Amino acid sequence: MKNAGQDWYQLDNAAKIFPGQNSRTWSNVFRVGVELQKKVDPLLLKTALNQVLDRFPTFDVRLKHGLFWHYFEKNPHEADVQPDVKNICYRINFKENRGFLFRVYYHDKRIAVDFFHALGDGYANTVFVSTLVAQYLRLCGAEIGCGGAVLDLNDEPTAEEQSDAYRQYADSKAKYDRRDKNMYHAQGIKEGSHLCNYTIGVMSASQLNEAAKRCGATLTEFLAAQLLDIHYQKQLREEKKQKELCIQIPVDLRRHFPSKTLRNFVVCIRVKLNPAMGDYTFEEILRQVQLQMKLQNEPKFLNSMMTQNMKVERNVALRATPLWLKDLVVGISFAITAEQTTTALLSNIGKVELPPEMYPYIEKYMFFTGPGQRNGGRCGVISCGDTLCLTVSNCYRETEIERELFTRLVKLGVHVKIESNRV
Amino acid sequence: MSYCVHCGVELDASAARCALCGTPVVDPLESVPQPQQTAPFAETPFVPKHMRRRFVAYIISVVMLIPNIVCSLANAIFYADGFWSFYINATSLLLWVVFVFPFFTKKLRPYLMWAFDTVAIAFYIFFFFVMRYETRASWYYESAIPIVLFIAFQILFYMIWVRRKKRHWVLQTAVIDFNIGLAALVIGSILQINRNFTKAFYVGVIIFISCIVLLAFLIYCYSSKHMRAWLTKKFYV
Repeated sequence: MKNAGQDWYQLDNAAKIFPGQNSRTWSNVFRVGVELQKKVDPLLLKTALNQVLDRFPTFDVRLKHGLFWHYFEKNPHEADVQPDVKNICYRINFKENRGFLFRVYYHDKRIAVDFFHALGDGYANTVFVSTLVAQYLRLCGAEIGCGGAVLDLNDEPTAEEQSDAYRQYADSKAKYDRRDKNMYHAQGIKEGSHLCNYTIGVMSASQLNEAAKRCGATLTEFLAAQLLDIHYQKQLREEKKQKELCIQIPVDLRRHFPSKTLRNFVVCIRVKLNPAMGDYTFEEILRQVQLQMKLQNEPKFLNSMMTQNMKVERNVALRATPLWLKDLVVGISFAITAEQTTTALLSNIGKVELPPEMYPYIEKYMFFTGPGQRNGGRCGVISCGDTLCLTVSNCYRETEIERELFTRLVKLGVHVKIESNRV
Repeated sequence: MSYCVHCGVELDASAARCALCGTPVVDPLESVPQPQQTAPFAETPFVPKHMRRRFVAYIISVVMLIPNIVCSLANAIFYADGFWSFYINATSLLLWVVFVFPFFTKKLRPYLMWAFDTVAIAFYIFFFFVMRYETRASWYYESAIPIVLFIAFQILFYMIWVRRKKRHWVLQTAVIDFNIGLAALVIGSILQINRNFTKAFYVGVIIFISCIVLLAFLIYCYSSKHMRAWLTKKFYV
């Protein structure tokens, strides 16, 4: 990276859009949390956090305004931890929390970190949280090594970890048309501003994988098909014109391109279902999902999506536009089109690999996608060992989506334990 | 360890009811003291302050105040043309009450806004017409005030009706349609009685009859499930 070793960073390609979208009521914030076996000590957690931050220079930053772009500047303050709140993933204000773009919380046995998406994607933030928890456990007296998602704090941060991998790998000549129609949304009574309902289903990863395998699908395909089917059935019950449905699925590009970046390196593929084509059974929906995912989840197609995003950044006229005007246009266009083209979201971080001696201290990992503006079913999936957490964030009061999803899994023989912030 | 009898999922030990369907957790051994369990989520939400919004409202208020003060002072010095600065003051006041004042309240208070807006509009008409043409004061009291009050109360009753219960959009359209017709008829009648403006009365009657025809159609649609579904499909936004 051209400014490696300096105390400022350019935002990566995906991150450039997030500060403009940020508003008083909505931010692109998500949470990665870990439940331990013992109650968390906040003082040790704070010490661990400040030790870990040196290893993650792209997290130890605050957001500043340039003339044409935002940029990250090294944060001179010490990071702090705070007791958890009920409305997790609430909006981020760049002037609060000493300018840090993440918030570290503790609650009983739980350590959780809310991240502003501009810092990094799900994988990068899981690495940060895992390294933080490993360091916290070391301070508690455990002997924890390094490996998997836990980085060695004695190593120097590499230029590759801090690089914008989009810039490195986006070289497709193909065009990708991202225009889309307005999709169906499961709507209901909205919770107040800054509030969102979260329901976690804790289950055995092997049981869920077994259920998916019985249908001949991978876990992501199986869950995407279930989500599509739930929304499809719900729309059929409503007396409305049948609209198309679309599930947005972020794909970790590190699986296709050899990058080790700890910033954003993800694009979203879109799996659709058109009820105008006729009636669908679950098996037919699953087949649709599998076909579309196989078509889109391959390096050349993903590269074309990535390159299309880069084209916007490379456009000379756009680059010369002042930042305030860019933010204004992004803010207005987001306010008009927010989530219009997606019915739901399914983000699967996958299995978190840890050093073997760390597993006995970990109860479970949790991943919460941020609250949507219109989507009632934004799902996050993460697993550690044999424990898998499926989280549904719902900005509406109704529980129809999550109830249907979890009861379907129960009927398939998966034991599900529910935790929720609903009263 | 408790399970929801309807959903089949295991519930957290601290849960008083199922988070998915709301079924309460009933323990047959309630007399046996249970160990206190910590809830998996914190119970207090963090509600960010509304300072930024209010701050912007303050700034706009100050910006609006400056030309008003300048014009009032200029008017006091150059009095020969009469009280012309009242027009600017009245317009600014109306705009401030309607667009800026709501940002000073933390929560949306529709009834308070309704009261303020009604008074502001009544004053605005007073400033604009009565101050200019003092001889027409009777027009204001006999026609303008009754019309403004009638429309304001129509809006008030509609607000109360909509906020009490969620109404079907066809029914809402029917009520709005009826109110438009009624307002046209009442305005026509007031103008005919007080100002002897017969044409206005006939126009009011025509609008009222048209609205009643549309109302009959909408009520028919609302009462028939089939027609309601058809309308919803056709006019789906």
